[in-house]
Amino acid sequence: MKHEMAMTKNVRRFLGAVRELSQRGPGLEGMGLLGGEPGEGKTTTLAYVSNLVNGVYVRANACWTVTAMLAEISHELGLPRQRLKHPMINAIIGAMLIEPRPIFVDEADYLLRSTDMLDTLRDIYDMVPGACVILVGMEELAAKVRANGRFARRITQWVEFSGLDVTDAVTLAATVCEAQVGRDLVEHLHRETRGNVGRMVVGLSRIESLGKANGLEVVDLAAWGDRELFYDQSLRTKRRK
Amino acid sequence: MSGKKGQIRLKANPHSARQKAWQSMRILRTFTLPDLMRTTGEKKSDNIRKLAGQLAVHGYLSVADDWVRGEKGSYKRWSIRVNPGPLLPVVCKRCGQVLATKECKAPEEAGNV
Repeated sequence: MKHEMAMTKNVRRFLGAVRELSQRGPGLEGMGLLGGEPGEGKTTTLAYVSNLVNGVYVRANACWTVTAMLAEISHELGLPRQRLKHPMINAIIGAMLIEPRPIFVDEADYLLRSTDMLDTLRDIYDMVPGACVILVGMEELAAKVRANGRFARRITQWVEFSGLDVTDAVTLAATVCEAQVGRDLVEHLHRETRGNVGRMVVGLSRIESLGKANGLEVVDLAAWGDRELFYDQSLRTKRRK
Repeated sequence: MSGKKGQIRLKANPHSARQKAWQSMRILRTFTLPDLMRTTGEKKSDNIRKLAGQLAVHGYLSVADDWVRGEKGSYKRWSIRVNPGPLLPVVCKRCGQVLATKECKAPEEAGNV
């Protein structure tokens, strides 16, 4: 197996959104939003993109205030600890002007509790050309932001992760599997896993083993037969009945 | 490589594969070796596997016990126990030695041996 990031539609859309925000024109808002249900690969994509663009990653929590948020961003930027908001934001802006980096805020639902936190983030990306803020949260985050027109106006890039489709499954098979997998088997895998990436990777590792063991050029559905693709496949079928 | 022979680098290179792997560990919190390779873009696993092993020896990572050795598609799962910040620790805070040392002993403990 090759452990590489499959460039699915979700990953491409998110990467494109971050690049557009970083290269936005003057006067445009620099805030983006990434939403989606759990298990759709948001965190893995976030880690990948954060490494690619050298982003600043912070995770919001229920106790966050403006001071706590600025302290967390300062800590991530390697700045000395300070007690007051004003010197902290100045230090952050100073550091970001030297090296503009996107800020990723995970669990951003907590930010919507206070407009001050969003205004402070806006101050940071307004003062630093090339900087942007990406809020990451569950699918409810997008609904909450939509309901509040004041926040929604600032979001210029919306990316909602959806489950993998068959085209993504083909991309995944071509990226991670060292054996060539037939289209019919990929469709079968996609149907059985219901688009779950983790299960697909397990299934593909088994398909690859079969292909290598039998010296098959292409592993298709006929070659695969009715073997199990992943550990609890039969249990899931029983439960559905 | 610059520096004196045996000199300890006190700060990791911010653009190295190890630093990227550390950032991924902090974001993912619980992860496998393929997760780290996928998110860092590394093609070979040796460097990252060694790093995870060293961090585990010095108590920064722990291994989840639901891992089944030898099962197809199953990998050792690590979780982060100590998160000292964005820069990859190079010197262990507990024993004061570089991460490459194979055991982590507090200085007084090491003195008694």
